[in-house]
Amino acid sequence: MLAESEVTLASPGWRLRARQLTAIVRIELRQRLTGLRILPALLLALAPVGLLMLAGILIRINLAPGDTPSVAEAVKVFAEVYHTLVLRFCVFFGCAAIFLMLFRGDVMSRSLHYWFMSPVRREVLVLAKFLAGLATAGLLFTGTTVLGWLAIYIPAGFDQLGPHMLHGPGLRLLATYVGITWLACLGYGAVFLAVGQLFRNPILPTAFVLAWEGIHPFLPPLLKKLSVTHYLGSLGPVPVEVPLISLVAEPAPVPVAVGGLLLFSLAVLGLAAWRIRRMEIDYGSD
Amino acid sequence: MAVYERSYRPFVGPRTPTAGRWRVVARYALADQWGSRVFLASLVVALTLPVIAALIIYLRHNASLLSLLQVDVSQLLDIDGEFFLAGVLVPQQWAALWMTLLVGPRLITADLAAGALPLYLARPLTRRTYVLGKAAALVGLLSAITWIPGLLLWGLQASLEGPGWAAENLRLAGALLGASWTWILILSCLSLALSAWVRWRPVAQLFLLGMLTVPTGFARAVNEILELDRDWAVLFSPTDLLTVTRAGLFGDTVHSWAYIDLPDLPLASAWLAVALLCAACLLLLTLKVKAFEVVR
Amino acid sequence: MSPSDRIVFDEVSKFYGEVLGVNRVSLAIPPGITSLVGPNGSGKSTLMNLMCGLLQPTVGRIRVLGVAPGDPEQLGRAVGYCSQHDAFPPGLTGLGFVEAFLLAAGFRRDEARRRAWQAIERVGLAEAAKRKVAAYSKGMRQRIKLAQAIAHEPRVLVLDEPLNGLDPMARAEVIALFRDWAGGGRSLIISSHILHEVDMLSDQVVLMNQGYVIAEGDIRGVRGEVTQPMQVMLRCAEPGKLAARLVQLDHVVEVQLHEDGGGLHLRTRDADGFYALLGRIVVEEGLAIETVTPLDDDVHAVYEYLIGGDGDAG
Ligand SMILES: Nc1ncnc2c1ncn2[C@@H]1O[C@H](COP(=O)(O)OP(=O)(O)OP(=O)(O)O)[C@@H](O)[C@H]1O
Ligand SMILES: [Mg+2]
Repeated sequence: MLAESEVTLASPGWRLRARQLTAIVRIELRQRLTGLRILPALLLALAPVGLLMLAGILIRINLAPGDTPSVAEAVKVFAEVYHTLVLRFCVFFGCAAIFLMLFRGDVMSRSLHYWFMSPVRREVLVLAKFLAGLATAGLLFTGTTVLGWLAIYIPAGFDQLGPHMLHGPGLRLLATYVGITWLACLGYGAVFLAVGQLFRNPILPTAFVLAWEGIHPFLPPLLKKLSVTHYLGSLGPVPVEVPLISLVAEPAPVPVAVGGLLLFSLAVLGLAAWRIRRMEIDYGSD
Repeated sequence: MAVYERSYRPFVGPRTPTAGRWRVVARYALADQWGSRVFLASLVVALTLPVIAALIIYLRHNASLLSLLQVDVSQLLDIDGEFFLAGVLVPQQWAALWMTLLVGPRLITADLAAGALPLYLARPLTRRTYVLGKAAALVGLLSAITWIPGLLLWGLQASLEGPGWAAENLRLAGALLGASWTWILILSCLSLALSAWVRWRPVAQLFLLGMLTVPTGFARAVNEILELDRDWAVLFSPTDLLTVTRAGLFGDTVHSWAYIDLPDLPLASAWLAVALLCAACLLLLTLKVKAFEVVR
Repeated sequence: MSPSDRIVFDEVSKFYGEVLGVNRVSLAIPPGITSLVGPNGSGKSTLMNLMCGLLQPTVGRIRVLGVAPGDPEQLGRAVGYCSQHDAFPPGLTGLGFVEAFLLAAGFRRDEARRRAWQAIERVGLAEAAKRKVAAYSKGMRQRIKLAQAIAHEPRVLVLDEPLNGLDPMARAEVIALFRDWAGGGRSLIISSHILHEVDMLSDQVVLMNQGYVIAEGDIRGVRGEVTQPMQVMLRCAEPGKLAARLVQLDHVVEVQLHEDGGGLHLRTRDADGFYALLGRIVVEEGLAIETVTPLDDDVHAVYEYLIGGDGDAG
């Protein structure tokens, strides 16, 4: 019996780690996607869709006879809601709710030691939890983006959908917005994972990040480069003109924005992975 | 004779009168916070701002000091409604929000998580006393950083300026008091209800932060794209409700530029929304504060 | 025995800020059942968490069968751990819980299922395996934790207060499981304040107090090392008469009359000889003895002696 575990559990190596990674992602996904835990994030994800649909329906009802609403106008409305509401509030708080809890939630339910006692490198654990959170948040808000996008065809009618998507700019725009959504989840996700892991009281850094992204339009150019909003705003394919909204005057080029976000997320994740090696179990406070 | 009866003596000393028992709960509600560095630092900052305001008021009336510093009076701020709104009340209300974020969600959450609610309620304390005590702690804290310094500053200005000023600016004092209490009520009701329903402190804090910011964003977006006749969506945003009611209280004691970006909403409906919000929170609270709960 | 069989602490200290967790612990724990015994707050859990890598020592070095606790890939295979907290990831069934962490360890699906069942049957929880852990009783939770700890067949099992909350039947079953498990050269480390369990169960004890290890080794050895001659308390009508006879026995080293004149307290180096003679003396003198109470029949006396004795015996 003694040797049994050595026979069936392969010796440490990349194959084993990959298997552990997928197993943990699966377990975490099941935990995060089921039950009431997902409800706040789900509400945040669906609310803008409801708003866009309502707007579409109202416009359609109030249509003067003979008016033909243009899809391009509706795209502008979408872009506005997307930047001012979806990115700024929904994705932000959705990611906070999901990623802050990846480690803090386990500490609060006093079950983190089960993970730490598994024969899994802690770096693998960080990566697995992050991927699970990313999949959850990414899927939720891709849902928001796609459903919200569909709402823009309500005023003009869904017969516009095919032509606009296939022959017009529709597909490219939608794909860009979905891409931005994933990048946002990646950036905010990395930040909140690290915050939830490193800080005992994650609300302070969260409030700080919220305030930082909020005052972003007033920041000097150099500091602007240190905010997720800056890069996300640069990527928006449709210009948005709303006063005091965190869109950049001087957008970063696309490769810089995407690369910058990727690098930033990687750096934050790296920090989290480095710090978790010395993390101690302390269920005492809270 | 049972063993315990031989040594058991019931307590015969004086008891805290029933009416004052909430004070016992209140005393311990924030007891653990006084050791927290973040809390203490925030409190110090929150109390420093009024001191700075007091210095400005004092300086404004001290001609000899002004000439000593070679400052022209006209360069200094006027001590008027503007000053009290933008320089005193608004920063203090932000400070109140921050303090609530720090301690509000903890009040009941900590007891829930530790299973201490049955302990409290097994004493001669009613549920109302318990909630009252917890609320009193928060309300006391928030009072100390909002209306108390506000009225003190108003009193300072009145005493330096002479009795005429006080009579003319009575409305200002009322507005300071009213706006502070509106915010205190909103914050305490929200955070108590949240802390009773959300078991984990960081989650409750995140909820509170979300409830104070997300509806504002939504209200903006709704107003932008739905093009309603008034900004009705603002009714669901506690922070905007404060702005609207505060503007109503200050009325024409401040110049119009303080009201740029003010949501367009009938004043009465804003007050009604505040009342409904608080009522809903209290209802949620009474549903949850119980000596025992059935899990699942 | 080579160091790779042992759990070695080398001058290990752990401070929680200002608070002392454990101080200057040097131990080499061999295979078999080892009990950590000490009052609340004496550092038992701290020591266990240190050897599992859940805490980092402030100073000193730890090796578990030659593995550093900072290497989870190796340590997790070698060690199974039960915390003293009764907490579980939310929303799982008993079976799901055990299986989840086998999967996370990298076992294949069918193997994980098989091992999870095996472990659950071993702790006697098969009927409840498909119910939610949240709905388990305290004893069931203790057992499902145990199942989780043994499911991957570790060589070292570290259990923090594993007998806490078990009924006598379950306790006997679990103790049998421990004996069986520790049979094959494996190490089992348990902590407890309930001394009778330790007495019956362990090959070694480590006595702790206020963060220090104050004695370690075989339980009889520990007792021999620290106890004075055995103590007996007698309650009788004429203790003076009895005392006069008892002091003549050469293995009796001390006799003390109780102040109320209703009994005496004595220390003897030969308990069996004393009991044999006592009967004769009683008959000869015609004494009426109320009670005879040995004061340190078990490890309790050792414990009290070491820890400074404000316990409940005596
Ligand atoms: N997270 C912590 N922060 C600060 N001090 C701690 C912490 N955990 C333990 N201690 C302190 O370390 C000392 C040892 O605690 P430990 O939990 O190891 O005791 P124990 O022997 O397991 O007690 P028990 O029998 O009650 O479980 C105690 O003084 C305790 O107060
Ligand atoms: Mg312990």
